[in-house]
Amino acid sequence: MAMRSSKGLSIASGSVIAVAAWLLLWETASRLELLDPFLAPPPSVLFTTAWELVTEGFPDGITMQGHVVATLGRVLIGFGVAAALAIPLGIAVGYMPTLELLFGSIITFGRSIAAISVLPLFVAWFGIGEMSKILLIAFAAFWIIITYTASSVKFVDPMLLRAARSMDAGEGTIFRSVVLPAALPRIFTGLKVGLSVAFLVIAAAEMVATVKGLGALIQEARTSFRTDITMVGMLAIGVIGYLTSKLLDVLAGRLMPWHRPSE
Amino acid sequence: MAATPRSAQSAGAATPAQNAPAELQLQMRGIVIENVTKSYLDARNITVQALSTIDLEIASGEFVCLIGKSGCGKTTLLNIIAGFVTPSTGRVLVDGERVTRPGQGKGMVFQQFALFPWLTAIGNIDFALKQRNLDKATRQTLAAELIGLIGLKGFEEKYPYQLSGGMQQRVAIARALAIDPKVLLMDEPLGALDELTRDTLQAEILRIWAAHRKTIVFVTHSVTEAVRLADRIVVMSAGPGRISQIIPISIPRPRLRTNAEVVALEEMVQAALG
Ligand SMILES: Nc1ncnc2c1ncn2[C@@H]1O[C@H](COP(=O)(O)OP(=O)(O)O)[C@@H](O)[C@H]1O
Ligand SMILES: [Mg+2]
Repeated sequence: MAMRSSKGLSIASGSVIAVAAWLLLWETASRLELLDPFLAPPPSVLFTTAWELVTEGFPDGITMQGHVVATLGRVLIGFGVAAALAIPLGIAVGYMPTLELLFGSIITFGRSIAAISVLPLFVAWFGIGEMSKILLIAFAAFWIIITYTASSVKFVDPMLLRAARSMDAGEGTIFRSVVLPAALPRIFTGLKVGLSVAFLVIAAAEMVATVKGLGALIQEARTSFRTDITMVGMLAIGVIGYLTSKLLDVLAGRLMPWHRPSE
Repeated sequence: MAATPRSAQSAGAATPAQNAPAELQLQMRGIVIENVTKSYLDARNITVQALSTIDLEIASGEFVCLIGKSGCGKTTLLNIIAGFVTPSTGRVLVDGERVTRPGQGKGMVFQQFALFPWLTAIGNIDFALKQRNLDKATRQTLAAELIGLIGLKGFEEKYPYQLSGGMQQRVAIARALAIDPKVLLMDEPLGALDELTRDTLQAEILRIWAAHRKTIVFVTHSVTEAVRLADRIVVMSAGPGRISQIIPISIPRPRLRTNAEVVALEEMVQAALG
């Protein structure tokens, strides 16, 4: 354990040094005008922009906090809806071969539709309000989560099933006490990938009829030629994406203390 | 384990068998493999004969090693006894009962341990005990006994990933014993372990077998292992899978390799393998 934490510490301090070195290089290149300061604003400008966004806001005085809350709300609700539907359906599809026969190809099909391409349909069906935005996020995450969940259940280690059968475990016990726990790690992987996809489509989801949200902020910045704001918006999406993903890791660690952390 | 319900039951069942004629007695206890063959359809739908006719009787309490080169049908035969694979012809009886499915007192130990990763050592053992519908107090007593038997006191609450391969296989053996099996079927159980661990576990398995006298069918491809463990070595050969020789061993245990008889026997088995 001591070795592991000191190694963890050195990795953490190593990456801090790496990030600092990159920022310094970027700043210098921008100052020396090796990089166009408009196309690639230096870190010092980005910090100022970020500060202005927090204190004054953009556009129309909407602060960074406001954008983050709006985006986080849409992502979490959309992701939650997707997970709530995709996990039980994925378990059913993975467990019952007939359902897989019926829905397997629909899932493959749905997964290959780019979320942004259904945006016009969703706007037509659900209007330009919150509903279409949340459902677009849910749509994108749904196919990912159902794919992972179905395969997690379908590809449970057959040796575990044999072990359970050799102990006279009935089908109900096998489903509840073997298939579900065995599937859990891969379902969590699906949730993590689904969450990252939810953040990927946020820019598309917030493209219409809103100025609130990090995706909308990036759109607004584009029309006002503020590359610095685009970059800060991008970074903010990255940061909350990273933090929510870590949160899922913590949850996974709590739920699966038996799971080797490296896996 | 002796005090558990199923032991009591099978002890009771032995009584009528003792009064029966010798021929019927053989049928009632141990394993009888009659006229078993197995053909698989391969990926191109061509029939592959994995086993030609197998006839074998294994006495109750006997320790039999199946040995043979890779692909000669050892796993297929063991899985037929276990009820995981249905034979193309013939039948298998375990204590006089025809094998139609897994369970029914056939304990399994696999090469890759197959422990439930989400259950602790004691949780894995308790999973098996729960399937016997025992009350909680009985289960706790039995689980503690089994943990003691495999020498893992102090490791009860460890998850499989926190245990060495040898320890994991000990837990798997305890889990198989927890169903109070009539027979223990092991498919290269020590194949994934290092030399030293294998050595210790061979001794452990012999000790457990001596204490409980479960019928054991043990698949291996190690001549040394088979000679050290078995009452009888069943040598199989391929193309199609069949029994080519049965070698009974009367050398008393422990069979040390300093014993010339043991070495001679190893050479004999090696020769039988071809
Ligand atoms: N499920 C299966 N489908 C098709 N062929 C199989 C299957 N299982 C085993 N075989 C074939 O049967 C033969 C015996 O295999 P197996 O019993 O695994 O041998 P061993 O355990 O002695 O290595 C091999 O030729 C193998 O390819
Ligand atoms: Mg094999």
